[in-house]
Amino acid sequence: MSAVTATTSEDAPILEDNGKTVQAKPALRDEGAKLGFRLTLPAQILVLFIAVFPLLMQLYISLTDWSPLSGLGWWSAWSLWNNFANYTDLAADARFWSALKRTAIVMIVCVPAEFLLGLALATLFADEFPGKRIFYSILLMPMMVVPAVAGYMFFMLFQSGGPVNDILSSISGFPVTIAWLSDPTLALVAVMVADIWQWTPLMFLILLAGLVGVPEDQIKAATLLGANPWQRFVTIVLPKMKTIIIIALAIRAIENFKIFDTLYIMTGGGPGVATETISVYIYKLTTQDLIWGYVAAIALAILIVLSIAAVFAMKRMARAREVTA
Amino acid sequence: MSDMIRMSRRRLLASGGKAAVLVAAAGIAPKFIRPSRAYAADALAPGMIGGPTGFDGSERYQYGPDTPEGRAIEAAKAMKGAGKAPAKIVLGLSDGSIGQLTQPFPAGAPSIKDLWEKETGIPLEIVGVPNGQEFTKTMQDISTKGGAYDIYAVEWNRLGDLAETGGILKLDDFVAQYKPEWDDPERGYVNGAKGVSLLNQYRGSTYGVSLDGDFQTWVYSTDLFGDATEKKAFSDKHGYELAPPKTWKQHDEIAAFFHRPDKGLFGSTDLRNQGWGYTNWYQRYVSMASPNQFLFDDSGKPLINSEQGIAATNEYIASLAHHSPDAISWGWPEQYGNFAKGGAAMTCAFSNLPKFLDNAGNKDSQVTGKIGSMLPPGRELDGKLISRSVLWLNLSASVSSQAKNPEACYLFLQWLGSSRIYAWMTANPGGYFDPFRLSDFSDPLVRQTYHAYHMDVVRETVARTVPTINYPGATAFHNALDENLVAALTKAKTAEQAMADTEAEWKKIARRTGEDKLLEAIKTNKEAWPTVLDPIS
Repeated sequence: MSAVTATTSEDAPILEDNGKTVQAKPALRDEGAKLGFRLTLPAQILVLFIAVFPLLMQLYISLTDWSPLSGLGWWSAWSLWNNFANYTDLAADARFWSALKRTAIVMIVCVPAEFLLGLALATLFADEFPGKRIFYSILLMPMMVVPAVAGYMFFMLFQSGGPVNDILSSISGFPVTIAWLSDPTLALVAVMVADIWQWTPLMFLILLAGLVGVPEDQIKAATLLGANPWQRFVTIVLPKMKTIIIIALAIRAIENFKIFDTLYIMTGGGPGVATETISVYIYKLTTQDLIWGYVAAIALAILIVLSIAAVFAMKRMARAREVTA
Repeated sequence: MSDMIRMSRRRLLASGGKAAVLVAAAGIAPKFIRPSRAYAADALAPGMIGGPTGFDGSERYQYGPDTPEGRAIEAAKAMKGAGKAPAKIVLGLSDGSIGQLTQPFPAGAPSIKDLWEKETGIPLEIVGVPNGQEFTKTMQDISTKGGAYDIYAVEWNRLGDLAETGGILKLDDFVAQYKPEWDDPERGYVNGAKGVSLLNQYRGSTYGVSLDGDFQTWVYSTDLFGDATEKKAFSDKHGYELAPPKTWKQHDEIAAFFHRPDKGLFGSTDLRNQGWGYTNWYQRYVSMASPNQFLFDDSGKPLINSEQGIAATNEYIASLAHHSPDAISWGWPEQYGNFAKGGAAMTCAFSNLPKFLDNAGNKDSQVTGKIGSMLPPGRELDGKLISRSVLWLNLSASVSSQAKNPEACYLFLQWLGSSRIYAWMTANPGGYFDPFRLSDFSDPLVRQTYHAYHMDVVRETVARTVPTINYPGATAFHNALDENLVAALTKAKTAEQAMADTEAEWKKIARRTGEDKLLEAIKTNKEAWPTVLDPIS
């Protein structure tokens, strides 16, 4: 197994090979680099094309009033150039900002809830116990349910005469007939409950993978030194899992930002626009209002915001890796 | 004893054999005794060139060469003979309607698909599209130039949007050549040429062929309305006889009377959810002036932010009192399910509700034999009753600009949407396509499936039906109204705010779509509005 460990521009890389260090010859290194570049060039062009072309196209369309109703192909969209009007409209679009705020609320509630529940379950499953495999399978099941099916399932559960109210009635001792999905506030609560139910298992799975990777000798050493379980968890387990936690949070945050299918089936973004998240809003503008120039502007704005957030998360992850290395 | 049994067995077998021969002879004989039935059952009647066979009455759906069906079939056959026919026609169709084309009906008949393929030799491939996703899938195909379908079947009021994209073809030349006779006074569309213009045309040109009849129709529970105790209690309370309501006032009083949620019974379950509910607001709003309270005036100005719009919205909100607590989230599956359980005194639904629920084959339905139909409630104005329903959803088929052979596609649609084939298809209980042509309402097979009591009411409802918005931007217009109405239902907005906001959004949509385009479409749409006024009885 070989690995590059020194890369100054003047020095040839030092290769480690079974504990021995070998200085590579500069000429050989250059030739290898050139060959590697040539071999990967088609793939690099392809990736560049795949990544950059749609982005440029999106930017171009976002600067026009292009719509399929215009009957023009996207290449002719320039004739509907609108001088950044989509971006100024976006800044003043109250419904867009409400949808964004609602999406943020869903993220702020669901991601931490899924994280805490997932972590608690992962901690529970890190140790052996009877029937672990069966419980493990049961726990992962929600994640396997098709989101559309989950949506309809929760739609039925949250009917005023549905099982959720029945359970609340038997707990409280008096009849509960809350019309969850007809109430602007409660509808969002119902949607979040569905999301937490479906995606906590994913969080659990990722965190469990991180948890079993924590070096056992360090935990044993801490135990010998008299650390209690909480101290061990806070001082050893959590820092060691920092990278995986950031990955798990980032995955769920991004996914949550795009929340759509379950929500759409449960409420269609309603009542009114009470559960309209950014994805639902974009879906309506795209498929029903057909204002694609404006949709491109929204999508680009969101892409920029998400990219900044992703860069921030990656930096945190890199820092965490340095700390735990 | 055993000998006797043996003898009896022998005799039984002998008698059975004789009986079988007699029954077979009796079954076959009428075909020879009554030649017309023989032709109808297993062959075409004299002079007919095509159509279904194999069942009693099939001759009603057969056609001669000088009929719209005959011309379409002959042209398709000629195309095939000349080697110019497409390898296949791909039809994108909502999942719920496919059965009507693929399932044979009645017993002994071929399916629509089989008949077309047998007569023309042109294969028909039907690609299912999820219900409710028809427009989205069509727009995807148009915008990506995917070419997945030769024919699209989309809600009728998207025709303007689709025509503006250039994704569907103008069919004028084919119509002129093959003469579909959609405006035939006896077999054609209700309102003749105006009906054709409304359903198939946009800005004076034909872009679609109607394949549906989604005229929202009112039904009620006959066992509740016919119950002597209920009748007495109602008349004691309100001073008039319990009967299907003629006015919105009566409707609301009857709904309130029967509203017993603790017993699983709601007064009225006409839909209130997003996507469907606004059609029921429409019915209240459009009946507020004689002959109609329009949505736009002739200069394109929205009329909803008015005394009438606000009053209709307030009524609409108040009516929630006799609905399910979940009314705002109920779609038609919940509505049908509840009605099947006997959970509502009245409701307004697609005309197919009795087809599915007043059906002995539907073991889950508890209302079989207990459904009645009624005209939409209305208002008394200037000494007349203004009673209005609404046309909503209603699939229309269009030929894709990417179709390999547009002419063959049109011929198929002319054949499918023509009176004989359409009546036969709509009688088939295997799907959602509902009757809409004049000849459908008197067709024995359709009346059998949809029930005679219901068909007469549907025909009268059609005459009192207003169209939904069918101009470019139709969905955007409806969404704006819909979302504001739901906001009013949930008390997030007042009726005044909801109407003012809808008006503001409609103006914005009109500017974006192009006001000149809209004006022309508004005028055409307006011509198709009903003028029927009923006497006050």
